[in-house]
Amino acid sequence: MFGLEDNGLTLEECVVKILPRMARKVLESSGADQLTVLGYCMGAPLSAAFVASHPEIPVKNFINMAGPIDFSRVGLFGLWLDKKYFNVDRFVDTLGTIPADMVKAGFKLLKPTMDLSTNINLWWNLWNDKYVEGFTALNKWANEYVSFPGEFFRQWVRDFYQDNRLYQGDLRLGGRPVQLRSITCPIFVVGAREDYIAPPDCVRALVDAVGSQDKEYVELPGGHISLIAGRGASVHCWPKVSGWLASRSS
Amino acid sequence: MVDSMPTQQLFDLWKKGLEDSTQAWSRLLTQSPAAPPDPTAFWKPVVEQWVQSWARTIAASPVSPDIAAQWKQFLDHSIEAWSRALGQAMNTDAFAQHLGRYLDQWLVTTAPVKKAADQQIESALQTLNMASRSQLTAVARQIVELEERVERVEDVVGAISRKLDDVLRAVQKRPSSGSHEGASKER
Repeated sequence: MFGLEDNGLTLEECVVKILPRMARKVLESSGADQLTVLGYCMGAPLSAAFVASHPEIPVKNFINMAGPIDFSRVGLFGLWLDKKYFNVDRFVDTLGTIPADMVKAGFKLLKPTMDLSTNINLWWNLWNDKYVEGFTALNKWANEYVSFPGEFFRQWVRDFYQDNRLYQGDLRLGGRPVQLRSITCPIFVVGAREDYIAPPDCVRALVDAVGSQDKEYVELPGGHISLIAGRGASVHCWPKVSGWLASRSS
Repeated sequence: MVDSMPTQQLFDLWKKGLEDSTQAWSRLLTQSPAAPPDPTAFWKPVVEQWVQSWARTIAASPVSPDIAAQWKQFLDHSIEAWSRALGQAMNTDAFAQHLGRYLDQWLVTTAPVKKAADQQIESALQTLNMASRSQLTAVARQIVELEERVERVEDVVGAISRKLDDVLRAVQKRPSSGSHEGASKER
């Protein structure tokens, strides 16, 4: 959870300081020579930026799960956060931290009927213990939104949503250029067909942007969350990911 | 099996009635001297879609005795239609502009209230001789900085320890070759 004390945390710090440290720790504690990086949702563009800007970290494979890369095709959020309509500086300067409730409201607005249909389905399956158990676990997780540190939000909206710098190759983090084409390890990109947070087109863009020879894109049924969590994910998604990874791991 | 046609006809009839009433409403609104923006431009497609999806469902599946399942199907289709219509309405520059204006307005009204509330709470806590939010935040920030320093020290210690390990391994190799040399000299 982020508090007021984290307001100064930037996206740059995450990519340049925190992720490399985490990678080094993984390598040290596992004793492995290389590691696979998997990024989900907004973790995917961040880890793509990390892999692209840190060639010294031995990354064997990179997996992007429903992570937006080309923000010109990111759908409603892209339109709503457009510079013409959304003044991110005023927002951050006024609020400091972006409250979790506001983040939640933004996501709920993307699909206003979602809660209604989710609750109707719950009522419909109330007699089904397995359904209720799965619903409770998933729904709790899916509704636990966290607040954004102000500076992180500023950089995230400005550089990624508004200027699309990652995809265009204009991004510089910690003085290092972030060029997606410098990613040369095998990559696996997974998009969800009904994903309205990161529509498949903006996720798929990574395949064309990287310099890897070994690259694959799959589009699976489900939405942004059901892609990775729930019963469907264990059938459609994870066997595919682990299968792809197994053939590329030693 | 019950034929689906009567239900289809019923829905067609209902749809026509709804369209007629919408048109009448539209006529009524446009007749007024200062014509407001056409509300039917937004609502009519929504209702249309909704009715169409109902009609499609009825046509696709003949009426079964399981009324509840059919009702659920209707409900799913109509929610989906609403969702699609709302999605279309929200995927416009006009909506984005309104949303932006609303947020700006909200910030304009929120900022002074938030500032005043923060100041009030701060002074109240000071009066009560209790730690204020800014003081707690400052302590938390110091803890974060301390954490970072510890991590940096950990990194340096790790690097030194790795170098020492390398040196140790090199030293362990040498005596064995040295003793071998010594042994050959003795001979």
